[in-house]
Amino acid sequence: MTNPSLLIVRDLHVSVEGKAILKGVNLTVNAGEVHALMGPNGSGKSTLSFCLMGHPKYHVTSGQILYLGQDMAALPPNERAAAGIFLAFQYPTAIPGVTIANFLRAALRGVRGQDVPVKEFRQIVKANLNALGIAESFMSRYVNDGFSGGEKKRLEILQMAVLAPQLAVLDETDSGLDIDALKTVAEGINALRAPERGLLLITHYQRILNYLTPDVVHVLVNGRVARSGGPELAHELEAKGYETFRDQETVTPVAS
Amino acid sequence: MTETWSEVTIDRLAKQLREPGWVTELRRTALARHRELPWPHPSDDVWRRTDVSLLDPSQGFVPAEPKLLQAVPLDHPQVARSLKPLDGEQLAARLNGSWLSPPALTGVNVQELSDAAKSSPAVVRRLLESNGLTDAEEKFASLNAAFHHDDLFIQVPGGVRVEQPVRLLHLLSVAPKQAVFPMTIITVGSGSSLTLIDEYISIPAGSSEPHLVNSRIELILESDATVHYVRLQRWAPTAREFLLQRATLSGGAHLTMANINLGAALSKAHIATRFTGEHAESRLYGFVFGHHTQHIDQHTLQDHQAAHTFSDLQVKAALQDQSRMVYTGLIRIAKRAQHTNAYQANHNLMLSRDAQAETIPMLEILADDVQCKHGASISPIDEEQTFYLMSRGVPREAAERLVVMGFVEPIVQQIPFAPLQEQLRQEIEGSLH
Ligand SMILES: Nc1ncnc2c1ncn2[C@@H]1O[C@H](COP(=O)(O)OP(=O)(O)OP(=O)(O)O)[C@@H](O)[C@H]1O
Ligand SMILES: [Mg+2]
Repeated sequence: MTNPSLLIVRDLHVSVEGKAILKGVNLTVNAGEVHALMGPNGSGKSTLSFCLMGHPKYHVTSGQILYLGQDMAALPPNERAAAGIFLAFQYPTAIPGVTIANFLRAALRGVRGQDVPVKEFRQIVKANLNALGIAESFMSRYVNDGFSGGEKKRLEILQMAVLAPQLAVLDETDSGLDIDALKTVAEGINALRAPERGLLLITHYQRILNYLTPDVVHVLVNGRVARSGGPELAHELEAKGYETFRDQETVTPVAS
Repeated sequence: MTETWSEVTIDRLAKQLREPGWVTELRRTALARHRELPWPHPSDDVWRRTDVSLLDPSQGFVPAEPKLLQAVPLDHPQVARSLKPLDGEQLAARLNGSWLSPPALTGVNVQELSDAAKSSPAVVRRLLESNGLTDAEEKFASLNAAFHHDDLFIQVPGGVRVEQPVRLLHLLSVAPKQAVFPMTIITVGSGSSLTLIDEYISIPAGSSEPHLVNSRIELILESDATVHYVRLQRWAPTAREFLLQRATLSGGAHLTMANINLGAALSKAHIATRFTGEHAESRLYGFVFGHHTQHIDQHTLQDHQAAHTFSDLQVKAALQDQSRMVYTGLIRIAKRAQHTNAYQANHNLMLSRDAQAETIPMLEILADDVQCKHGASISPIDEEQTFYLMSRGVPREAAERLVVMGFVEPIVQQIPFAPLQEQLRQEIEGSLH
């Protein structure tokens, strides 16, 4: 018996406010694998990540998202989270007035489908704060409210660590981090790696891939995966940029 | 019917309250004034969004002097909850204009107004005679001046720091169509400090008929006094309210005020802060929780009459069902009030498509070297916030609840007393649907 792939994105077409952004994305992430998704600004990387999470503004016009063999189309974001999908946002949303402690408690309750005893919750939080080198006073701050860029990214990783998802999609979690923070974040991600888990890492930079060697690298250009390859592809992109892909795109005939 | 609201009623009140003759005279003067004043003009921006005839006692309401009030069932859940002292507070509870038990408050003198009128006539007279209202305001306030009962005079002498928060609980048990006129006067002496929680509850005798509350609250801060004042408005869903709430700040006085509006079918509140001395500062926070078909109309006035004064005002409303909020806020800075900073913000969170909000800032600035800012918003729950929470496993309903509680939290934070903060959070969250 073979387990279904962790994630299969099949010929996914997505539009936002009537504008087509993803134009047939295909992608398979198996358990235990790390995939990197790279691509120029505006190519649709965040759009794909929002679709995986079920953002109501992003309309899947055709194609499929299968998670552990199950079609996600009808599932609201919270049920996808409960099923084990996690998205670290490129631009995390501020929720003024809601403390991180209350927020994490509600999240854990949602993912587990039942209340988490206070004592256990404290233990989980404490262990993860320590591992990520975050002060406990952080817990009484309001979610992303007035946070620096780096603090926001750390909070995303803290949430991921607390929720321990099976599929984590990290949208540029490495951007805007100083070298030490990048290392801590990479360690946080590594700590979560396991044979049954998978990781989709959206990034512009090779440097995070030095810590988390990807099994597969995809290049998303203009709403399509233009190329997939091994870790060497990331190095190639770092050296040459996306010029060659842009040229390919321009020769592709586009219906006007 | 107008006979009901006449000198006859005043005389009966005077007899029951055993007040000095000059107090009764002031009542008569106020009634005469009420009769000669016009009703607010339909074009008046501060009044025209509320049908004020609903607040006219002569539209079928009857006086509810102390003796005529119903007995309150003390085991009524809301009454029982409020009667339980919170950790660390001094509680003084009144029922229908009498003390439930004689108040024993450290650092604070509490008297019924008729007694205070005998022991400190000059002070009380000055307060009762003070005006500074618009004609339209006085049209309603004069009714309280004529018919007030359940009236309290609270005084902190100069140089006293009252350490423990004081909660004054006013319980009113009203029959349908009764009108009540509570008055609370609070004076805090030079250099003194006080934290006061002023809680108002009405318990109607089961009927959908309205009752009327016309109340007046005066806060007087002498120089360098520091006051944290919280008003908890928990009128019954059948109540109609007119409120005149004023604070007067002498030089160097600091006021932090939180007005929490939870009840009433209709509420028209005028909340004014006057700065009469330099370096006086006030921070005013308001929260309105609208539900069912509630209509809440709040007018605020930040009245800067002295230089180097500061005011920050933030009124927030969370509106569900078919509730409606009207906010008009005036910042007035007199010519002599240079170097004043005044801020005003009104934010409305719409929790239902059928809820409505209007917000109108008004500025009258005569000084030229001042800073003044205002901001307003009317918006539904932010979909991006909801999505962020849902992406973490929080179901939609719980996510929206969190966002609403986050909206309220900055106001709750201004309540200088943690046990009450927690009680309010639970109460507000419990009423969200
Ligand atoms: N909510 C939206 N409303 C309108 N346009 C949108 C929205 N979201 C995405 N787009 C558009 O879709 C395209 C792809 O955006 P997306 O954010 O997915 O790119 P990206 O690959 O993540 O880019 P970056 O590397 O800059 O983060 C862009 O042209 C963007 O303007
Ligand atoms: Mg992006």
